[in-house]
Amino acid sequence: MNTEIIYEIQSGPYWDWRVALDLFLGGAGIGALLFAVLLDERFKGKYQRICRTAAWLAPLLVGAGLLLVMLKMGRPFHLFLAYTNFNPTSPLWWGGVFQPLLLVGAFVYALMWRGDQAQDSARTWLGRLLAPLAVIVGAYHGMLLSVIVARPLWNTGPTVVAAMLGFVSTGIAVVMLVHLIRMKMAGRLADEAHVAQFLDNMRVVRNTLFVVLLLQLGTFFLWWLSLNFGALQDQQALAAANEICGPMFWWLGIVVGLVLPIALGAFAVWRGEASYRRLQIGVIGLTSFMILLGGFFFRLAVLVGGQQDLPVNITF
Amino acid sequence: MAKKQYSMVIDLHACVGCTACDIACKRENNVPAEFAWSNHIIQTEGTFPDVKYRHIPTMCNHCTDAPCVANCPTTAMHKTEDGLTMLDAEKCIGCRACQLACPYGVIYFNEHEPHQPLPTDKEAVIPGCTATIEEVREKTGTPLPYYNPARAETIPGIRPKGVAEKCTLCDHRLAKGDVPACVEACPAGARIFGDLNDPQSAPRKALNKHAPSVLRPEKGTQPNVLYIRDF
Repeated sequence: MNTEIIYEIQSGPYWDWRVALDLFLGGAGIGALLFAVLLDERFKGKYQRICRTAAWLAPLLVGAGLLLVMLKMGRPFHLFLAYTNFNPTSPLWWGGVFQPLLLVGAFVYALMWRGDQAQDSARTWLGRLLAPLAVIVGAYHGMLLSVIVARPLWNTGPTVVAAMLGFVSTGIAVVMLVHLIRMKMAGRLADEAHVAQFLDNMRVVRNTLFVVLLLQLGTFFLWWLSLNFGALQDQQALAAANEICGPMFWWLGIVVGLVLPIALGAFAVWRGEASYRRLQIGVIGLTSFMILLGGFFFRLAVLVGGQQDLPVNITF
Repeated sequence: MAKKQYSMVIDLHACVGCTACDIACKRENNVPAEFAWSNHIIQTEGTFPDVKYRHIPTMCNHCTDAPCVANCPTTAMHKTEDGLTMLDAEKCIGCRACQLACPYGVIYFNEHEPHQPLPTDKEAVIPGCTATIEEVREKTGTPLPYYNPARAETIPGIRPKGVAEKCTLCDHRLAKGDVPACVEACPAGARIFGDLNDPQSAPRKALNKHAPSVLRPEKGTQPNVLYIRDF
C-alpha cells in the first residue's frame, strides 16, 4: 500500500566535521597520553624520546579537538557553565568539565618531559593522576553518540567499544607516525643499529596495535549485525547512513583504516624483521597513516550518517 | 511525581487539520518563519478509492523522561515543577545535543540571527491608508512588526542566535491562568489541556474515556502529549 508521510523539521546534520575532528583528535590525544604514561610507568624512562613525542602530542591534539568543538557551539564562551551546573547524565557535561582539565594537565605533563632526565617521580605521579582523567574523557568521547536514543545508528553497545578501541589505535598510530618523522628529520633512520633497536623496542606496541585493530574489526562486524538484523528503525538507520556515507565508511573507514593495516602488519610479520628493517619501518609509517586516515573518516561517516532523517514511524 | 503534570490530549477524530494551532503558536511566541514549535505530520495512504488521510499535530511532548534534559550539559534544558520541559536561554551553550537527542524533531536551533531577513518594506501597500512595516515597528516600539511582548515575560521574546528554542506550552499564559495559544485557537476543541494529576481535569476525563497513544512509544520517553481517537 502506498504511504506518504510529510513531516518538515529543521534539517541536519546538526553536528558536522568539526565534531568528527574533535572525536578523532581528542581520541588520538587521549591514546597518546596513555601511551606515554604507560610506557614511562612500565619501562621507567627507557624510551624517553617516544614518550616525549607522545606527551607533547596529547595536549596539542586534545586542545585542537576542544577548539574545533567549541567553534561548532552557538555560544562557546558559555562552556564554563558546565562547571556551575551539574548534569552527570550528559556525556557533554563530562566533556565540558574534564576535557579542559585534561588539556591543562597534559600540557604540564608535556613540559615535564623537557630535558634529558630519564626518571622524574613528579612526572610519573602526574601521569598516574592524568591516566584516569584521560579514561574519563575517553569514555565521554565514546559515549557521546551512543547515549542518544533518538539515533539508532549510534545507540548501540558496539559504538562505545569501537570508539574506545579507536582511541588506542589512533593514539598509537599518531605517536608512531610523528616519531618516525622525527627520527627521519634527525637522521636516525639512516642508523641501522638505531632502527634495529627501535623495531625491537616497539614490538610490544606493534603487537598491541595489531590486536586492537583485529578487535575493532570484530566490533564493527557486531555493530553491523546488530543494525542489519535489528528492529525496523535500526535497519532504516543503517540504510540511510549507507546511502549517504557508505563509500566513506566502508572504503576509507574499514578498508583503508583497518583491513589494509591488518594485512600489511601480517605481511611484515611474515617477512621477518632482521633482513627487512627498511620494509618494517615503511610498514609502520604507512599503516599508521592509514589508521589515522581511516579513523577520521570512520568517525565522520558515523557522525553524519547517524543524523540522516529517518522515515517517520507512526507507531500508534 | 511533579505537583502538576501539564498535559495535552489531542483528539484526532475532532482535529480538522486547519493548522490554526500552528499559526496561533507562531504569533503568540514570536516563532521564526522557518521554525514550527507547533507542527504536524501528514500521512496519506492507499490508492483511490481506498485511501486514508491523517493529520497529526505535533509539538514538544514535555516528556517525563526527557532525553533533551538528560543530554544537556549545562541544565539549560530542565523540568519544572509543573512537568514542563523548559529551556533556559541564558544557560544554553548552543551545542545542539538536545536537538539530536529529541526523537520527535521538535527542538529548533537559531543558527543565524532569528527573523532574518526582517521585513523592511518601505512603501505602504495602500499609500495613505496602510502603514509601512517600518512605521508599525516605530509606533509599537517592538523589534518586529508582529512581535508579541507578552512572550518576553518568562523567556526571551526573540531567542538570540546560538541558542535552541521549542514549545513551552505557553508558560507565560499558564502563569496567568490561561490555556496555551494553540488550545485557544483550535476551532474544533481537539486540543484538551490541563493537569494530568488532577482526576477532575479535562485531559484526565478524556483519557478515562479513550485509550491514549503516544508518538514513538519504543523510545521510552513518557510523552505528555497524548493522542486519542485515531481513525
